Amino acid sequence: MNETSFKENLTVGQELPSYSVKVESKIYRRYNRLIREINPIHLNKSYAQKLGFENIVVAGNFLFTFIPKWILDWIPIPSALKKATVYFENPVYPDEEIIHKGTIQEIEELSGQIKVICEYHVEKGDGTPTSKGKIILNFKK
Amino acid sequence: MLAEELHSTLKKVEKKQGTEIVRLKDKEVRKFCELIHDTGYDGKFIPPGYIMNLTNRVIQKIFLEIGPLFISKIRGLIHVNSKVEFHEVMPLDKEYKISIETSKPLKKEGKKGTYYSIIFTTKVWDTNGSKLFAVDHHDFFFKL
Repeated sequence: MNETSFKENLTVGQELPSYSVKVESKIYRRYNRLIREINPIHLNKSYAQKLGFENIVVAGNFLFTFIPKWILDWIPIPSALKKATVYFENPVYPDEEIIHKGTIQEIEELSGQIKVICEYHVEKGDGTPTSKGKIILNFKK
Repeated sequence: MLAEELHSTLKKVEKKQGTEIVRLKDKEVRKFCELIHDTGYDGKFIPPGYIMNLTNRVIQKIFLEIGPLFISKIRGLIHVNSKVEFHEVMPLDKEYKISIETSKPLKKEGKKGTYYSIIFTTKVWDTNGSKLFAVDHHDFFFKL
């Protein structure tokens, strides 16, 4: 499907395909090694517990990586993704599963482009919210 | 008082550190894409989801600089929100310049006590600073 087909099929109120991810401990450890994480809250359980968390907290940077991936799996046009915001609401711990859900809130026709605003939230299997935000996509007219 | 001390130290470190030039290796991006099962990666561009891992190198350098000075004073810090702007698709195997600027600490009261919000704005440019690729307004809460 090309860019024209994608934008013609988008409507206000449309739900984005939901996307689930299990943040496996071993994958998260490999990620921390890859990016050379230094914040003890993401590495050291007792340190995280001293701050009031149940376990080490999965880094926001890692959780954020799934947002553009989710959007680009849905619309595989990297140049269309213009903005992504994320507000972390509750911690995600290793081995928890999170589900991304979103809706198209607004479609704005501008000169030479179409702006699509999506709102999303991410929750755990039991419904605990973990993050929310907005995604802005721009398509050429 | 401590928040002001942290702010002035951050500003000094920020000035000393200046901008940083980075070149991402295909191997590193490929490993990252394998971890998150990103099958859309074709070895030509940096996935947008990678942006914070790129700018985080510069943020971590700042933390390593201030760490010895504030180790007993910062009781915790956590990333609470980000606003990321994607201006251009970032080709792989190209050098980028990353600049950083920190905001003045803003006092916040929450369920877990008093925190200070400091926004680390990182910008990814081409090496001569004429083309902006991405911006991340990365908000940390510091427990002092």
